[in-house]
Amino acid sequence: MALIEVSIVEDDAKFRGAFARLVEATHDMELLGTAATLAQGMDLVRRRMPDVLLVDLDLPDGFGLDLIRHVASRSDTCDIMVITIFGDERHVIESIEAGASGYLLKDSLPEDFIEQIRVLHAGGSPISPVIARQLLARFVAPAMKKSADVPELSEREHSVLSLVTKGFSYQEIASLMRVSPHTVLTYVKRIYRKLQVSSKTEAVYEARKLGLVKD
Amino acid sequence: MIERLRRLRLAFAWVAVSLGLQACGAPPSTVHTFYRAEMRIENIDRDGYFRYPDNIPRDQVLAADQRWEPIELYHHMPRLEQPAQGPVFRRAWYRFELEPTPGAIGRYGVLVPRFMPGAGYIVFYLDGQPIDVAFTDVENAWNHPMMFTLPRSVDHLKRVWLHVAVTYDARSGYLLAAPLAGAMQDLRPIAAWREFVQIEAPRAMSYALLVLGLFALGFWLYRRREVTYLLFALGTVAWFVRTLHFHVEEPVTGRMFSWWLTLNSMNWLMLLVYLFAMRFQQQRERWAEWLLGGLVIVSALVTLPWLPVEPLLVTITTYTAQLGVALAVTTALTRNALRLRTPETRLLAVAIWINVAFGAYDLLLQAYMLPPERVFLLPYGALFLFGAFLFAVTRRFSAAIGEVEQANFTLEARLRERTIELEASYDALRKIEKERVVGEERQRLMREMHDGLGSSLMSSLVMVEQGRLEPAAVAVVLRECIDDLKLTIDSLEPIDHDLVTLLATLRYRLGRRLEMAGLQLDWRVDDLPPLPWLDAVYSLQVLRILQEALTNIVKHAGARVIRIETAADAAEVRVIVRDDGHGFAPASGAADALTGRGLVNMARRAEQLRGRVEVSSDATGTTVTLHLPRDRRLLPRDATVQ
Repeated sequence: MALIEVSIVEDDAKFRGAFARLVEATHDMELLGTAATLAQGMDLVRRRMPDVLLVDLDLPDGFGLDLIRHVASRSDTCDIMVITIFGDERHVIESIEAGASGYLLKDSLPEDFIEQIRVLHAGGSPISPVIARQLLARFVAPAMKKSADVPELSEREHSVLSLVTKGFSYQEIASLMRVSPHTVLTYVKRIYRKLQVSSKTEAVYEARKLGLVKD
Repeated sequence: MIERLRRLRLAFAWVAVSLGLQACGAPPSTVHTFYRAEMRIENIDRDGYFRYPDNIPRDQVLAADQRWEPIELYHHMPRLEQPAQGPVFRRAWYRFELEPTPGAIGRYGVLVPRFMPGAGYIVFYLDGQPIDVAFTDVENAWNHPMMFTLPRSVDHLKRVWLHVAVTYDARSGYLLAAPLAGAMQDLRPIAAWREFVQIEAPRAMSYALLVLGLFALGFWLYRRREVTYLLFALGTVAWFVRTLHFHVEEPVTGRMFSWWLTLNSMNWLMLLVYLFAMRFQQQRERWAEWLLGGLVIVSALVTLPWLPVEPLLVTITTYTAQLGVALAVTTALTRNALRLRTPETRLLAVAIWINVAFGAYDLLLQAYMLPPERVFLLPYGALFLFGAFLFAVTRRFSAAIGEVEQANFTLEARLRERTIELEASYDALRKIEKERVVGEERQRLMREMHDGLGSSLMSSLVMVEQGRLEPAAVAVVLRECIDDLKLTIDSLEPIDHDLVTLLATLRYRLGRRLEMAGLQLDWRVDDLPPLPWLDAVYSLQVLRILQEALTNIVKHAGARVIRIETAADAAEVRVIVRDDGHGFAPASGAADALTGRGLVNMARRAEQLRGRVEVSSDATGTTVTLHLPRDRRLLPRDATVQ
C-alpha cells in the first residue's frame, strides 16, 4: 500500500512541528515537507504535489485560500485540508469553494488528527451541522434561478445534508440510509466538489453579467 | 409691456373696423344718390294725417312754383319752435327727377337708408302715382333701411319724377337720409349690407351675449361668492334689453314702456359695468355704488312713460346725463387701472372708454348732428365691453386654476419630500435599532465572556501564580476555556433560529468527547418549529444549559447512555436529556455543592430565556428537561438582562 504523502503549510512553528511529528510517526504516511509562508508553500507544492495538503488560512505573506486555489486548479488528486481553530462556517465554506475538501481543528485529538487525514485521502470529508445547513440553503435556492450547468444535489446527498443538520453521526446516517459510513463521507466530498463547481460557475455568471468574460 | 401694447393695438384696430362700418354701402356708380331735392311743406289736419293723397295733380308734379324750395339731402326737419297744444300734423313733399342710368337692367328702386325718429310715414310716388307706403310704426323703423321698387321696368323709363311725402307731427322734427336710386340688383346688396350692419349683427351679438350670460349665471349658481359672474350675467341681460330696439320689429311691451326700457337699461348696464370693474379693481367704494344706484332709480322714475314730458327731449337729456356719469365713472376706473397695472383692469378701462366714445357718437347721431346714413356704433361696443369682461373673468378663473395646480404641485413636492424624510428617518431608526440590537448582543456576549471565560481564566491565573495548580489541572482549565470559546463561536453561527441545528452543533463539538468518556449518545432529535427569538446570545444560553447538563452527567452520573430527544407543542419546545446513571435527589442535600451550583446556573439561564429547567432523578437515572417558549413575546416580560 502506497504511503500517503503529506505536506504542511502552517506559520505557527509549534503546530507545524506537532503536525509534522504526528505524520512522521504514522507508518502509512510520509511527510513531503513543511512550509511557513505562502511563498514557501507554493514552492513546496511545485516541487512535488502531495496526496494531502494541510493549509493554514492565515499566512504571514498572503492568504491560504490562494494556495488552495492554486493547488485545486493543478491537481485532481491532491486533497486539501484547511487547518482552523474553530471550523466556523465562513472560513470553511470559503475554503471549500476554493477547492478544499476537508478541515482540521487545531485542537483535535492526535488520533483524530491522523484518522481524519486518512479518511480524507480515502475520499471522505467531514461536515458540521451548520455547514450542512448552509449548503442545503445554497443548493436549493440558486439551482432554480441559475443556468443548467450548476450542479444539483442528488436525493441521497440531500438526505445526508439534512441528517447532518439534525446532528446525526456518520454511523447513524449510514445505518439510516443503509450504506457504509465511508459512503456517507464520500457523499460529503462530492457535495464539496459541487459547491466548488457551483461557486466557479457563479463566478463566471457574475463575470458575464459584469462583462468580464465573453460567452 | 409688449403684450400690453399688442392688446392696445388690437383694441384700436377694432375701433378702426367699427368706424369703417360707417363707410359701408358706398354705392356703385350705377346707383344715384340724391343729394339735392325740392321740398315744400303743407299743413294738414288730423284726417289728412291718416290719409295720404291718391295722386298728385299733374301740374303739381312738374310745377316750378316758388313753393318748391331746393334743399340738400340728408334733410333735417327741425322741430316746431313754439310750444303747441296737441299734435301739429304736416306733410313734407320732396321731389327728385330720376334719370335712368345707361346700361342698368332690371327693375329700378329707391333706398332710403334711414328716416329718424320713425314717427310718421313715407309715401312714394312715381310720376304722381303712389307706388309704396312705408309705415314707420315698427319699433326699429328709425334703424331700418326702406326699399321701394318702381313698378315699371327701367328700360321703359325716360325721365321720371319721384315724389316722397313725409307725414309727421311737427312737434318733433325728423331726419331724412339722402335716398339712393338705381337698379334693384345694385341696390339690394347695399340694402342687405345695411340690414346686416344695423340690425342683424347687433341682434346676433345680443343673443350670443345672452347665452354667454347664461353660462355665467350657471357658474354663479354653483359659486355664489363669485358675484362678478352674476354681474356679468345681469350685464348681458341689460345689454340685451338695451339693444332690443335696434332689431325687434314690434315693441316688446307697448311702445312707451319699450322706450322706457331702452332708456333705463343703459343705466343698469352702466351700474353693472361699474360694479363689475370695481370688484375687479378691488376698489369698491360704497358711496359711489349707492350714488349710482340712486341715480338709476331716479332716472327710472323720471322717465316713466306717463309723465308729461317730451320723449325725444327726455331721451337726449337722459343720454347726455348718462354720458356725463359715464365719463366721471370711467375716469375713476381708468385712474385705478393705471395704478393697478393689471392687464384685465386696463383692458376693461379701454373697453369702457371705447363704449363711452361710441355712446357719445350715437348721441350726436341721435341729436341729428351727424348725417343719418351713419350707423349706430354702440351695439358694437359689446364686442369690447364683454370681450374685456370675458378676458377678466377667464383670466381670474385660469389664475385660480393655475393656483390650484400650483398648490397641487407644491403639495406633491412636499409629499415627496416628506416621504423621503420619512424614509430617511425610518432608515436612521432602523440603523439605530440595529445598532441597539447589536450593542445589546455585544453587551450580553461581553457579560457571558466575562462570567465564563474571563472568570475561569482569572481564577486559574491566580491559582497558577500561587503555585497551587498542577500543569494537568491547568490543561483542564484551558481546555474548558477553549470549549467555552467554541461554544461562543458556535452560538454565533447562522442557524436560522433552528434549535435542532444548535443541538446538532453541540453534538458535533462534544460527541467525540462523550464517546471518549465511554458514553453512548442516543440521538432522538426530530424537527422542531423555528424559534424566532433564538439569536446568538440566547443560543449560547441554550448551549450552556445543555453543556452543563452533559458535564454533570460525565462528571457525576456514572451513566453509560445519554438520550437526547426533542418535543414540541403549541406553546413550547422541550429538550430532554436523560441518563441512566445512579441519579440524585435534587431537593435533598444529597446533591453535592458543584451539582447544586450547576443546577442553579441552569435554572437562572433558563429563566433568562423565559423558559425553565425541570430536573427529576431517581436510582435509574436523571432527566433534565429544558422548556423553551415558542414565542417569548407572549410571555410576561421580566428582567432578562441582569
